[in-house]
Amino acid sequence: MRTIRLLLLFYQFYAYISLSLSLICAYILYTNGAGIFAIVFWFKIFTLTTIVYFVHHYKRKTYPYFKNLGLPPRRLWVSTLTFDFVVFLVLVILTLQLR
Amino acid sequence: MKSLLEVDSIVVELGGRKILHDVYLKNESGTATGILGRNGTGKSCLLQVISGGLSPSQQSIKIDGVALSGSYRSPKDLQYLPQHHFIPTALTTKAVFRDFRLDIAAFMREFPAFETCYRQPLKQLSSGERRLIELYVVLTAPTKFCLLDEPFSMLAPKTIEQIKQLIRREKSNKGILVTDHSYRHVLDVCEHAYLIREGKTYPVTSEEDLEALGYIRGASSD
Repeated sequence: MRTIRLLLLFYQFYAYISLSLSLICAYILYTNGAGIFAIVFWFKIFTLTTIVYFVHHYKRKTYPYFKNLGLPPRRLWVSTLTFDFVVFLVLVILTLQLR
Repeated sequence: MKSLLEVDSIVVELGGRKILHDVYLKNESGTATGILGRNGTGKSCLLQVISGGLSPSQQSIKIDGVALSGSYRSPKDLQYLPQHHFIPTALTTKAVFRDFRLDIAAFMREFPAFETCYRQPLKQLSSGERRLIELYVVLTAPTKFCLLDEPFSMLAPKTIEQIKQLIRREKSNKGILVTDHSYRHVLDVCEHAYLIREGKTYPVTSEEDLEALGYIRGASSD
């Protein structure tokens, strides 16, 4: 439970912007169809890479907090990025089914 | 059971400059060990290397004879207080104590000023108050060793005395490594101390040693 709470705390550093971008991707797919999936996919990858760069730069001072509680930076990133990408994929699948 | 932290053969190079190259120190649970040195001599680097936050060119760090490799450190082995604020400012004091599974009532008995603000996010507290919370949770968390980088900075003299009492109390069940420029406070709470000079550690026992090594009163230059 504590681990999930800490992962959510870390995810909050970029969740709003990343989830908003996923919603924008879903909207673009909804209006243009599956034909532009590759563009949307690479747009998501590019924006996520940019987000990782900035969050790492501006929030790295908080890493010792998580590390002191047993969550090293690599685990924080792998867990939250995986979750974020799964949300993106679920949104894409739902959007294409709705269309 | 006593635990032993041994740090040896650390080589750290930053920007082509060798910061540390001949380091040896040890710390046993039940004792505090001080690390002193002028600005830029690598005190904080050394603590970062031990905590796994910085990868050196070469390292030998052992706890109870078991080598620590890579950057992962178990919180049961090490707790690390960096010299900067590290707790996310959106958290409240109460949430921090919940995360560390520590008794906030015991903290407020020692520091009653927090009784009125433990529900406030840390961003609403002063730097000194934040530092005190960070120091307290790292020092009292259940672990074998604590690494404290500048624990006396930002704190009022009376609070420093309380922290020194806390260090004396906590070192009964763990080992503590302290680095700070307030060398008198460091020597006061530590059984052993080392001075880092030109990348090398020198054991010191008194202010005379520090003077002879050029750390205080400018007896010699680096």
